[in-house]
Amino acid sequence: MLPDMRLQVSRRDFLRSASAGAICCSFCPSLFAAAMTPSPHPKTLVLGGTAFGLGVAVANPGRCVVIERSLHLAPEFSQVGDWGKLGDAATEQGKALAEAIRSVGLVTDGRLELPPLSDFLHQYAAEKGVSYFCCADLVSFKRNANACRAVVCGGGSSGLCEVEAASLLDTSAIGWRDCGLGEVESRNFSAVTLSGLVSMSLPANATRREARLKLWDKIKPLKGGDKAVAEVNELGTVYRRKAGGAIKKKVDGSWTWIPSAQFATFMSAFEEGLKCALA
Amino acid sequence: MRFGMIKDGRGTLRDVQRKPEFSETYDIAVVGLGTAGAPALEKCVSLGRKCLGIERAGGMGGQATVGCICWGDGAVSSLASYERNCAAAEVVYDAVPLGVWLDGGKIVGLRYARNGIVSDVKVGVVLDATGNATVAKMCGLPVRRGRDFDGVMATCARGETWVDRTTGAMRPEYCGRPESLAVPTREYSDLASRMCTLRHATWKSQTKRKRMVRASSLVNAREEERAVTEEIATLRDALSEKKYENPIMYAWEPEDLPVFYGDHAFESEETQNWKVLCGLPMFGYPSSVPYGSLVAKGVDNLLVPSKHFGVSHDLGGALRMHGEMRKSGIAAAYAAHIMLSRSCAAKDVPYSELQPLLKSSGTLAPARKSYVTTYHGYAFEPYSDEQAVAALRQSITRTREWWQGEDGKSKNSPADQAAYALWTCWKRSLTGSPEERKRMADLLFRELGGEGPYAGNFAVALGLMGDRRAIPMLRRLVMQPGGACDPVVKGAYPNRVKAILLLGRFADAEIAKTLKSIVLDNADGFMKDLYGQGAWKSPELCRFQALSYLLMALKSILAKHPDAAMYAEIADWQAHRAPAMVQPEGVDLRDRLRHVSFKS
Repeated sequence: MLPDMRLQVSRRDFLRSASAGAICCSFCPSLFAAAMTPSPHPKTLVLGGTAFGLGVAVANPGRCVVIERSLHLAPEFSQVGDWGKLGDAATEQGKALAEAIRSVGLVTDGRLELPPLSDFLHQYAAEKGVSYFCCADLVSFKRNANACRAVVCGGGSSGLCEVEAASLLDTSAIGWRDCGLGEVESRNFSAVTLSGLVSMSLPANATRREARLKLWDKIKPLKGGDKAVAEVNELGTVYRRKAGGAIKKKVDGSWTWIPSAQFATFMSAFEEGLKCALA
Repeated sequence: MRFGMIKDGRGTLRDVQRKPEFSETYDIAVVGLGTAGAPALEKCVSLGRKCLGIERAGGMGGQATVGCICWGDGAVSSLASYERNCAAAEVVYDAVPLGVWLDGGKIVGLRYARNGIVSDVKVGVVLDATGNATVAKMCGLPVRRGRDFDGVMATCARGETWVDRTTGAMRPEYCGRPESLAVPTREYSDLASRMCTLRHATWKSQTKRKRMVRASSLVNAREEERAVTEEIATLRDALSEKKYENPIMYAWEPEDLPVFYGDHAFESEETQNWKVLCGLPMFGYPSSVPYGSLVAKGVDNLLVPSKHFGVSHDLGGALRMHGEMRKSGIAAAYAAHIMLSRSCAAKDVPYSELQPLLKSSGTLAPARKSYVTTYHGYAFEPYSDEQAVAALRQSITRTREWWQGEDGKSKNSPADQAAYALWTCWKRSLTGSPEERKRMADLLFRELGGEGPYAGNFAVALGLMGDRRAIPMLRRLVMQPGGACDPVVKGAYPNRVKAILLLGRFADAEIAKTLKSIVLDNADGFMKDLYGQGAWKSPELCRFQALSYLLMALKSILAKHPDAAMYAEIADWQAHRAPAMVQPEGVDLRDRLRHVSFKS
């Protein structure tokens, strides 16, 4: 028996909720500043609208604000260029979300439909009252006497916005300011071509530009040559795993890095986030 | 020295005492590597300049192509070639520009951040190819927003890449107008997230055959914030065939003027003439863009290729396409190269040096002949006066049927087409000599006394030429909607709507009471016979059409002939009694009407 929170997202409902979702996910300096206003305590800034980050936000309503650099939620799963697995859920909230994802047709042959997964998560996050902002980049994070000051750069020409934050929970793949680079063994990239998906593994510090140049060299001899190349995506990040437990790094007293991409499936990342209790 | 940045949405400048420490020096910095920035960077590199490219997304292509969303112009392959050809440049993805250092009227440095790591670099020339005038705004320069009336901007479409589930074949797709939206100008993320949500609808209908692998954030947000430039090209310039001395490109404007639920009442006079009065939405005309449209006003070394360049909202509707953006980027690259070679400001680049470079790169390829034509290639020279009059005596024809023929295949003869005749009249008023204009107007006036079904055409044609002798017949069209002179023609604007628009322009005080009573009591009845006819899809849309033109006309009339009581009555209606007009997408067009302010 599923709990009541099961989502029934028909096309009509989806469209109807578009405006609500837009309000939640666009970066507007004044809306963001209002969301971060201490009430009653400063909020935790969650970096990355990842599956883990969403889990944290759902489990800690009103205590955190999520910012995501791209337009897509759970980009480590929804924007990777390959079709990942949904995974099994263990918690009631996880089961309800997994069922909702299946019920709107986002799982085909056991694999996730990628960009639409992100769209669905916009809807889910809006309905859950998650405070999140896409197209937002963290520029600076500094500890003051009692709290921290974060400067976020918004999408378009909205520019910078400075806010107070209790702490920073960094869920990005490499970590803000590359803080997790030492934990990364390699990064996998792929390109969509007429011949199918072509992928390659590169060192941890490889950039997407390097990946693109190398992949194109690899693809050039294939049928269709350059014209077959669509886009290079990151397929995934391979971490130097220590025995037991998830990667969690306390970068300083107020900045913790837990990469969402370390989890094998969408549901495992989301449910690990649900378990994360903010201080 | 001053440091410019955008904080809380506003450009701010502050004096700085200490000189910044720059980690690197570049000849040219290209900010934004989209459809204008990527070719600009490529060209700058090919000219031997030391370049920096900064891009917010994870790859080149911008909103149109970053998700593998490419069509036409060999965009898929050019993404690969851009990257390779720019190998000598420093290209930083996932990076955001944070600010600029200004010394006098010149940018000397640029600050940007990637993943929280901040860099300060020295630059010679900056190409702001962000698409929303971000760098211009950082410099404290003013920006223009959306359309003049209410700041509304157009989003056009979004694109996707699909892979066939069985064959594995990849196909980029462009999904167009059905999901276009009109959104108040804010951050592009606002628009993008709405488009992102709407994608769901297409996905559901196609997902059995194909798998979506990439989706662009948003394709062709026509404009956001636009830079104020040395020159601004307008639709009127294009329609009156203005010849610039220093063009950077010629373009062929297709039908694609802005469409926001058909609220042309709020568009410019030129758009109204083109789409409403003439009824030529499916037709294109040539336009050109001057070099001054790339030169930001107020900063010596800032060029603004990309969709925020200096064109008006309505001309830009179709100029902000992949091909044109590419041309703007290449032109800016050449200009930057000349600026560095001659140590001159952007506005002082000699066109005699720029022109041969533009020609050699194909950006100055000649436009088609300067007559109106359709996508199907049928071209029409303007009529003679007599031909125009003869055409206006015969019909009001739905545009699509005109050029395709009733069966959708054959082409009708243009000799009897009222819409084309209306364009001829307007063109005569734009480009004809005083004698030519008078001759045409007199011919039209002589026809006004008719009672036949198309007599209203002459009043519209005369009104289009700005001749007040049209007023009595225009009033009749409003007071007797659906009468003999106002036939209902599927897909065409009725003469009554055209009459309201023109009477507003003439600020005709005598019609004000009639217009007010229609607004307050009978907007539905006024348009009832048009329900279901072509574009008049629903009662709500019909009501909106009537009210938008009525309110705009009243506002114009009352501006010239103030009437406090009437103002108050309409303001009260707007506040308390205006009916809802909710569209399937959830947009209530009543909110749009409230932009027509009647607050005293």
